[in-house]
Amino acid sequence: MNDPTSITIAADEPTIVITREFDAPRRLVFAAWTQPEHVRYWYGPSYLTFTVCQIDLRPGGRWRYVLRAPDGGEHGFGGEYREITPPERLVYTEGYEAMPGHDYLVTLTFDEQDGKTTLTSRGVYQSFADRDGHVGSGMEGGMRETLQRLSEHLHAMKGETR
Amino acid sequence: MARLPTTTDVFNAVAEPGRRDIVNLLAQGERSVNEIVDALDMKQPQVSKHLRVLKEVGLVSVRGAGQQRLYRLNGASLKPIHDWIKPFEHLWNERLDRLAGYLEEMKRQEHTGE
Repeated sequence: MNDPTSITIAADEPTIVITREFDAPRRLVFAAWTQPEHVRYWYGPSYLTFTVCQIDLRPGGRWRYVLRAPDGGEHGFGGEYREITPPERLVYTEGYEAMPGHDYLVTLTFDEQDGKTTLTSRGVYQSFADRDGHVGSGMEGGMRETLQRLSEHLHAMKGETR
Repeated sequence: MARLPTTTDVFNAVAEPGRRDIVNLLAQGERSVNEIVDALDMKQPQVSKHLRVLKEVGLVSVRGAGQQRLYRLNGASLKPIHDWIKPFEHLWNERLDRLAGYLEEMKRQEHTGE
């Protein structure tokens, strides 16, 4: 019943942490993540096609992916590499080209044990609004109000006022 | 005196995937700790810890005693937060499934010396 992918959306900091274990040595996982000829095969869902997959893997180097949807619309993502320590760590910025100014910092760590690799992706956003917006629409305004009312209701049920 | 941000209570309760799984299970009806452990394939101390957090916030209540304690989700609906997170979870699960499959192919190619 549990997804093999674990996603933690913290309440007290604007982060998203994604964790997954792979049955492969980390040098392969690191390569799959950093070489365009590999990335093209797994990064996008099958209904989107890569029209651009550029990676300049060095500190200060940029990366850019553009994915085309069936309706012809294109979605661009890109950023800059900050730290590259193969095969254990990769730090880069990422942003959605249609919405500049809301970049976030991603730290990928690749930990190997007995030939299996645990990949941890930690994304740190500039604000809760940015983080919540990246997860999906609906969290701004309306949803936070809903959660506020829910929380007050639950505390009232317990006989507390907060 | 400023009010505490109460939204963090409910949010914190569902920030972690393990707790979301328990909430989704209890949405189907009351369960004992053992039933939760079996259904979700989680360890009992972990389940108990999550239930404590959920109880603290008021999202779950318990009735009965000893081995027969039954946990239930309290009235209020968490559907909005579920709907919000689900597509994102789905996107990443599918993406990393594809990576897992691709890694198998990479291992095969290494093995055959391509």
